[in-house]
Amino acid sequence: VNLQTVFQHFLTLLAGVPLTLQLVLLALAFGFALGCVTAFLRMGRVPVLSQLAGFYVYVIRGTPLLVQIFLIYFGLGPTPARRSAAPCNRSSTARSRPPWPTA
Amino acid sequence: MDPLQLLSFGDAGWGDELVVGTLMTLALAAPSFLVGCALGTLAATVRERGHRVGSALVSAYTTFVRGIPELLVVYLIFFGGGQLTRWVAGLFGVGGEFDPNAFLAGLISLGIISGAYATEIMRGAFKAIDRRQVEAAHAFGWSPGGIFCRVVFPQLLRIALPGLGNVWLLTLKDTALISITGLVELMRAAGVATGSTRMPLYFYGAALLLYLLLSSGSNSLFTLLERHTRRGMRGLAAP
Repeated sequence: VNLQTVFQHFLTLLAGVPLTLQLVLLALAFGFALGCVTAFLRMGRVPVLSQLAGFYVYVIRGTPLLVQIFLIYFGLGPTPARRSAAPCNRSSTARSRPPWPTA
Repeated sequence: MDPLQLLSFGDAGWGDELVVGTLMTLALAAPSFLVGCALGTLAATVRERGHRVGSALVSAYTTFVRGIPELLVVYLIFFGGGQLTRWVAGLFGVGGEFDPNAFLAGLISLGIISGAYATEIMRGAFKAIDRRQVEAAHAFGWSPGGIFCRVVFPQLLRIALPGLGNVWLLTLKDTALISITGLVELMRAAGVATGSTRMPLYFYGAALLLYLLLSSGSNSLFTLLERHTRRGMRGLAAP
């Protein structure tokens, strides 16, 4: 194996790290805010909101993350994103690409 | 098209495909969970024995698997496993292409993942068992195998059951990752249905409901099991 090639590919992989960290930090901040709101709703005695918060936790914890991502990305996403990335619209040339957006 | 007709059985709808996918999800999750439990019990036993090399191997295994994304484990086993098989076959002078088996790759990767989590739970359960019971059985002349099977393991199961229930839910949800290997489980079936109807919200929503049904069903099953295993402990404080 050519060591230089390995090193170059490693650099390519390294370039993805900032995006990963960015996603983690943003998701953590958003999740913390959402978690606080949900916890307060759950503790509060408002009838409908409390059940709604419980249902949200129940659904998210009981289903795979991948289904949630696909549902949000393909189901609720704007049409242009769907048109370019949905598995149903992949042309034959893009068949080998995964059904999620790649850089 | 009529929304209900889309979920009908037969050629007109996708109901039967989704049901078959759900069964495939269960058929993959159940043996993977069992492999994980066996692996976890084995690894925890090795760790409990306190052998230096064995302990180091077990802790490397759990740290490694729990520290990397589950999707990466699946990719490594599915694509890396095929490469490894080709290399090993090459050593024996057997050439040619080896098609990686999607189900087997899924079983191995999910078994490895759930095994890492089960190891941690089994270790905690081992610690909760009174050592003096083992010593007492030993003093009565029981064999080590007999002590494990009739003294340690039954208690281990009872103590570990709530944690193992969580591992089962994790494994069940992680089967969705195996859809990338092309195995037609629930996630993949929903993807195929979406592909030809262009209704992602509808079919991924249906998949979401089916997963929710599976996880809440197994949740109540584990609650029943826990109550059953605690039937002799009424009045005692929960461990």
